[in-house]
Formats: sequence, structure tokens, C-alpha cells
Amino acid sequence: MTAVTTAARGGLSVRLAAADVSHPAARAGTPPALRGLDLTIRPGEQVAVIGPSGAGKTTLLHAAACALVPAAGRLLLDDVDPWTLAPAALRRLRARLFLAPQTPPLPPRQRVVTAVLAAHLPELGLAASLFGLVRPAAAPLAHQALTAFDVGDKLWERVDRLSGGERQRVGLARALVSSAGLWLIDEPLSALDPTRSAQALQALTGAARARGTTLLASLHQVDLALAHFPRVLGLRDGRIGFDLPAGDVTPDHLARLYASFEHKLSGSQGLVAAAPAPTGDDRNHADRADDIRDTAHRGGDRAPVGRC
Amino acid sequence: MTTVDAHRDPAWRGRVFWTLAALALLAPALVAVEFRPWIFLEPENLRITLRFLGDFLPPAMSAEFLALVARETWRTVAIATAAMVLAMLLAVPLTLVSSSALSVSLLTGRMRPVAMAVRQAIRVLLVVLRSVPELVWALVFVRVVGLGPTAGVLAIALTYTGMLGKIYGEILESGDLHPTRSLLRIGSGRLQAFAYALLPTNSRELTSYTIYRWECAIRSSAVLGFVGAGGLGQQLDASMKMFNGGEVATILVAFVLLVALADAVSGWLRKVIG
Repeated sequence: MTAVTTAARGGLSVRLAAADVSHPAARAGTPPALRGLDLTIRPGEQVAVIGPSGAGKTTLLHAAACALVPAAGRLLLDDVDPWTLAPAALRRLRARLFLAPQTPPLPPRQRVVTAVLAAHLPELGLAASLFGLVRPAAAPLAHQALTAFDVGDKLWERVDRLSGGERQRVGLARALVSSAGLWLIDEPLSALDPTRSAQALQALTGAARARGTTLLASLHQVDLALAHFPRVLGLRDGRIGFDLPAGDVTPDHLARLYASFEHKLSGSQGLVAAAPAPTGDDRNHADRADDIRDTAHRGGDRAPVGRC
Repeated sequence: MTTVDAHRDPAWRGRVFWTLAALALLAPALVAVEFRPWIFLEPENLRITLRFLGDFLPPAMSAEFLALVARETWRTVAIATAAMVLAMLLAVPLTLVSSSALSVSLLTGRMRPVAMAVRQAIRVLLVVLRSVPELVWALVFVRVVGLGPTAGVLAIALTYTGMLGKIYGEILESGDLHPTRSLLRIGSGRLQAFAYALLPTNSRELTSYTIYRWECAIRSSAVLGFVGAGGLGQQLDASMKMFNGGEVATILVAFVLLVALADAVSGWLRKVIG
């Protein structure tokens, strides 16, 4: 799929054991975004995380990226708990992780070539990386990575001249330049049209397979998740709803994953008393579950739904 | 879940309170500085003011004096520039160490105690450097290196190290930290993250503030001239002591031109950086 070559060092395994993880911005007293999560991902595996907004998808990726410390339970990367490591060892481990956040973290006044090659920095010494600012010697590497996402022509452009979709693909191209053994990709398709979405997923999964890199991606496009990933993880309310091979995910699974309304009603006495009739927002939830059932029935040929 | 009252902005009462509190604090401050603007308009004071200003006309335009002003202007620019370069050489490393934007431990929760202590120590150093007025530093250095521009350069450099270090740090911390944090998170070094994310994100603000400070350094050098630190300021002091309003006016025009120049350079650089 892609000819980009960096020193691949094999995929990382990920294990979460009874992990509680809270988002740092969460108010005190709110339940953690992930609750007692148990999850094992083998090296080189490709897993899609789906679930309604607020289910904890991003928190899961951040926890695996060593961006959030579990409040309880443990995270093991290649059987090592990163939070027991000394700072220098933690930094070496971080160089094996690549987190692509939902909004691409690209400085607007930087050129695309520099922004992409920034993901290569952990491989470089300080002198080489400073020289790279003046003359980006690794530009062909960046170009190959961009080409995989069909934005090779933007190599010398400035980031703030790009459209939202182009920016997102530049952010994804960073993954191909990094030599990490674990890619954590948060909603890679939020700014892409359906054609580009399929292409971007193909580039990501193809490159990960070629290098043996472990890939964990959160997606709102259920049909694409089922089509491109061998294993699909359904998250709801910070817990695992299902964790199945893509072929075994049934419309019923999806309906239960996205239909959170009844659960909320029965779970909270106060809400029942205060709001006897479903509000507009809740009705949307129900509609969305129907949409997903439809999509799944018809083999996922419809535009993705339930994007919030 | 809580109910939301759309007619009641929860921030409203706090806003009213703080506005009133600010006014209540301002009143005693005005009393303390004896703020009575109407005394400017009393006929006696008006006459004195106008006479002083009238002395400025016509500005001294003799070729000899203009040449002197040009020479001293050049020296003033040299003092301000040398002082700024020196201040930046000191302030940039201090900023890199002290800015929490490059804190690796802050990526996940709290800053480590050692890192926090170092940052706090540098912050205190910066406070001391900038809380001593450059005039006092100049008086100190005039005793060490004698009268002349060197004392002025050192005095401005020290005070401005304190100012640049503080504001550089605040600019870096208030900008978008997302690119920087992402690079630190994938294991790149602090200086790499600075060069590839923090600096390009904030280059415009840093440039504009640095040039504004250069402009301030030109004004500071005027004050320092009064204690013999050289440049236009020393000339201004001499002319004022001789009650030569025309010369004072010419020197002030030179200052206006310098500040306008700084403004133009700043605007141009901001455009170049984009």
C-alpha cells in the first residue's frame, strides 16, 4: 500500500486492567469516563472503537497514549506499566506511541513538510532536527506519506492555506512518518467525505499491516469500522458494550450500543420525575439507533450516521 | 441532571460584583495621586505651560546641531539594539526553562516538584531583574564602567531580561499548546517541540512584542541619558539644562521618527511572518 519506510520496531501490545480513567477537565464528582475497563490488544492488531458521543472513546485513546493516568487499575504497554517508569524511559516509550488527536495539531504558520516531519523528531538528534527546519532533508519521506492520503501536492504549502479535510489528512500522514509501534487515531474521518474516508482508512490500515504496527482508531462511521477493521470494540458509558470480530457484530449489537435513551430513563429516578416526555435530544438518539440498524441491514452503503 | 434556567445567567452577579469592586479600588488610587485635572486650566498654570511649549519653536535646525542629533540618534539605536540583543540572550534560555508550555510532567496531571521549584526560582529572578528600575541599574553601572553608553546598555539589558522573560513565557503559555503537547507526547525533546511547534505557533506575537520592547528601549535610553549613559537622552538633558527649547524640540522629533520606524519595522515583519 505505502512505500514509506522508517525503522519499524514491531507493534506494541496494549493491556488495560480494571482501569478507571477520568478526563482532566471533568468536574469533581462526575463518574470517570472509563470505568473498570479490561482490554487486551495484541501486537499488530487493528481495532476500531465505536460508540455514542461521550462513551469514552477519546479517553481510551488518551489513556493508551500515556496522556492520561488511570485513577485505578493499570495500563500495560508491551507488559510494562508506563507509570512506573523513570522520566527518560517514559520518553523512550512515548517515542513508540503515536496519538493523532481529533483536531490535527498543526501550527498554522508552519509548512506542511515541516509539520509532517515533526512526527519524525523522536528519531532525530537536536542538531539534525534544527537543521531540518532550515532545509528539510527528509522531504521525500513526508511526500510519500502525504501521497498515501492524496495530498502529496501540498508538501510545500503552509498549513493555514489548507482546507479542513486536507489538514486532517496531513495530520494522518504524520503517523506514516513516525516509527511508532502503536498508532492511536482519534476520529480520523471527521472532516472527510465518504470517498476520502475509505481511502484514508485503507492507507492507515494498509501501512499498519505492512509494518506490524498496532492500530487503535475511534470512529463514528460504523459501516467503515466494520468494513476496514477485523476487530470492533463498542464503548458505551465508559464500559465495553461488545468486543467482537467485525463479522460477528450484528445490527442488534449496534442498536443496543447506540440506544442509550431507555437506559438513561430507568437509571435515573430524578430524570423521570423532571422530564416525563422524551426531549428533542433524546428523540435524536432513538432516531440514530434506527438509522444505524438500517445502515447495518443494507450492508453499510449509506452515508455514515450518528456523527456528533 | 440539573434543570437550566435560561433567564438567569449564572455569571451575571459575579460580573456586576467585580465591576463595582474595580471602581471602588480605583477611587482611592485617584485620591492618592492627587488627580485634579482641572488645575491645568487655571490661567496661571496655562500661561506657564504655554510658555514652556512656546520655547520649542522654532526647532533648532543648524547643520551642526542636526549632525550632532544624527550622531546621537545612531548611538541611541545602537544602545537600544545592543541592550535588546543582550536581554534576549539572557531571557530566551530563562524562558525555555521556566515556561510551563514545555513541561513534560504537566502532560499528565501535575508538574514535578523539582521542575516547579526551578520554574519558581527563575520567576523570582525575573521579578527582581525587572522590579529594579533601569535608572537604578544605570547608576550602579555608571560607578562600575564609568559614564557612557556601556552603562546604559547593561542597565537596559538587565531590566528588559526580566520583562522579556516574563512576557515571552506568558505568550508561549497563552498560545495554542495543542501542537506542542502532541509532539512532547510522542516523545520528542523539549527543544525539538519548541522549534517545531511552540515557536511557529507564537512567532508573530513574539516578534511584535520584541520590537515593541526595542521601541521602549529607545525611550529608556533617553531617561538613562540623564544619568550620563550616552545617546540622545544625554543630549536632551544638556539642552534642557540650558533651557534651549528649540534643541529639545529637534531631539523629540528624532525620537518620534525612531518610534515610527520601529512601528513600521514591526508591521513589516508581522506581514513577512504572516
